[in-house]
Amino acid sequence: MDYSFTEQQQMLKKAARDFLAARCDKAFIDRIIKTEDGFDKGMWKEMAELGWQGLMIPEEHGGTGGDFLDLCALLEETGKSLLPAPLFSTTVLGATAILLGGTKTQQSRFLPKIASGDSVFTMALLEKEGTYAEAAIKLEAHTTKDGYTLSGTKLFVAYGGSADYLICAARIGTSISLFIVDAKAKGITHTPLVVMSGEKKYELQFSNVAVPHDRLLGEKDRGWHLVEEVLERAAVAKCAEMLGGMQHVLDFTIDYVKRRVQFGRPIGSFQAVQHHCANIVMGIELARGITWEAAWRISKGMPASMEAAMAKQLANEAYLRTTALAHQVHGGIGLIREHPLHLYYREARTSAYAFGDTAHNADRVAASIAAGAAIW
Amino acid sequence: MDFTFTKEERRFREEARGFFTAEVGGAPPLDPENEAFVPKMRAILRRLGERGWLTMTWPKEYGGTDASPMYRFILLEEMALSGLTSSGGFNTGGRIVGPTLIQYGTKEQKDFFLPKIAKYEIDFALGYTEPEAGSDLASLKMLAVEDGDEFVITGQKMYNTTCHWAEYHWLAVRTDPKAPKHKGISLFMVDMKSPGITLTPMYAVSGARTNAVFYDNVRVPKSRLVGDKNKGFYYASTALAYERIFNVGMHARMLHNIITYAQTTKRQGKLLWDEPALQREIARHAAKLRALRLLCYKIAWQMSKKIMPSYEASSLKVMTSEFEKELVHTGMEMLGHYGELEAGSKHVPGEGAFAQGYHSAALATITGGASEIQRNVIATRGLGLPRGD
Repeated sequence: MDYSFTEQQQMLKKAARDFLAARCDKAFIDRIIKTEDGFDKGMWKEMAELGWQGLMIPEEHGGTGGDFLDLCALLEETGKSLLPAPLFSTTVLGATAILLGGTKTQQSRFLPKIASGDSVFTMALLEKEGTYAEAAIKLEAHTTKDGYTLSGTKLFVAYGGSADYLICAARIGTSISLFIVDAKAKGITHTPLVVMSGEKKYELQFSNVAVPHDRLLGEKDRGWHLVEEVLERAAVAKCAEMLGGMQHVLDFTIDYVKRRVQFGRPIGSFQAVQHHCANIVMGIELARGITWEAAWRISKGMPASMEAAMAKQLANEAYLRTTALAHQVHGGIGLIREHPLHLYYREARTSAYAFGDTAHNADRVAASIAAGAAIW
Repeated sequence: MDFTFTKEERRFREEARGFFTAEVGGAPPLDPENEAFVPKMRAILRRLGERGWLTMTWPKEYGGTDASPMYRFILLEEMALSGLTSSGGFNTGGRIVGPTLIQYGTKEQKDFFLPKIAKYEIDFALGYTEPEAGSDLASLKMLAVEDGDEFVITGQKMYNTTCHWAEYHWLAVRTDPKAPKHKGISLFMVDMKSPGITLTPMYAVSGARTNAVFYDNVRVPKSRLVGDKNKGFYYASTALAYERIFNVGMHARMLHNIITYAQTTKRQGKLLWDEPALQREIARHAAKLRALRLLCYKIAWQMSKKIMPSYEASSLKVMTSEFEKELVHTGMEMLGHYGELEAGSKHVPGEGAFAQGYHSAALATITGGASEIQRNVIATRGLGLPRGD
């Protein structure tokens, strides 16, 4: 049993904290999320030099050959800073899908460009229903002599306007296949959605978008299996990112209640405030252990779907409660946009939807129990 | 990171499971609130003592094996999973007295008490709470006055749960009424057969017996003072640190019972399990159970690294006790009218375990430090917030 990060992981986290402290303050976030791309391309290159995009990519493809747990350790830090960049979608969604399902040729073609910061990836999965369900995939792929044409509409595509490539789930008859699609291909219309958090999201309309044969990712008609593998990792990685966010909110909230004086004493000395803070701590602790266990299991190649679904439920609950209680103890100042709290309050809400909301993950756990999975 | 147990730890778990299965396997669940349970539980503890399992974590020189706290954790977890209570005031000697004596006791005290504690020949009752000293323990009033080679003790204790069968009282009393309240308290080990001690039984909502304890000029030899005079409050608070090994084995049994009932009981032609709202509630409980189990392991891991938990133990106390209440609530809501039936009644579900759980849950967030006090500890000790007035 060992609940600690390795020395290497601690160094990675420390370097990330230093970089983000210097480069990603609130003024930066406020400025960047108003831009069309939603991220700073110069900074993206620097992140690649730090090895972030290639963290999980094998050395032969230009990465540093770390594992999923390393990536989660990094995302905990970026989650603290609310880093506005397509790091999550490029690594956890794009690189993971190619690592798990890509051919040798696809891996050597795309992974080095991810590691070098030359390519931004994202996943085009959700559609009108907004649910992570196979039946909700309606975008159709038709076979042509050169490959396929895709037609349909994708929603909530993170960085869908600035990405270079999309991992796109499409229906062929009764089953789903995945494709690596040029995000700027002819026939794709990008419409930005106005999202409450910093992550840019798009509606992408596909109208007879041509995709060559060699862009089929994984086995034809077995795409949903690959999607589930990616989603399991994405849910856990999102939990790690959320943990960073909630911990940071706790940290600045504690700092505030120690300094803020009312009735002649710091408000942190009032039990009503202390108990709100204690409740934040407990929610975070509960989400933390199970998140790291799930991440560890994935990095060891062990089954983790139950753990992932459990972690996401608890992380959703904890982040939402953390930001709500932080608002309560901050009072008026926390409601003002100059204060960072609202950014986390927004992030908590959008994160809670990502890769399965609480009900979705509860249903997954319940289905496992119904199928005979042990609760202990 | 690594979330696995070592091969030796797994082997020990198997051994412990075998032991508890042999002791209680297949038998109807023992009701810990029933007085008939006491001799049965004490017999099991004696057999644990014979195996040296009550004192594995003690140093070799005091009869232990210097085992990592992880082993004690595994033992207690298996004990709870088997349906035996892992607390309830049992083995206060091994949990609190022994470790404190090892650190602060005289040679004579160690020689006399430690072997008896290790073999479970004796047990202790905690003697902290008083009518006017509950959460504010440091304001206790029971007084000890020096008289030659003895202290003469007079006053009253409350809710001292195992006093009617434990051989010794682990007693906190005031030895310096003029000192600041935390600094005038001493700990004594008092023979419960001493003249001048009387008990008045009180019965808790769960049916469990507890006691009001009266001391009327009880003479206690000075050799039974623990450590230095007036440092008792400090010893008592550090002794609690040895007690910081929690587990959620009992919660696992409760959730298992809920699931089994839901999956086997039909109402209006439909299994209770098929209610989506209940499924989601159960799924949340399952997630919490798993997460809490990991936090329990984390504390055991920290202790095995010689990191003494402080606020983490308080947060685990709050979370496990509040979780117990949530489980009870789910079970009771699910049962409908059957929830009101108690053990022994015709038609009672789960042999009375649900109703028993409802009664015990009332105690969970109060005994061993009320949730409000624990939240204060998390805020002040864990987060460094200033204390209130």
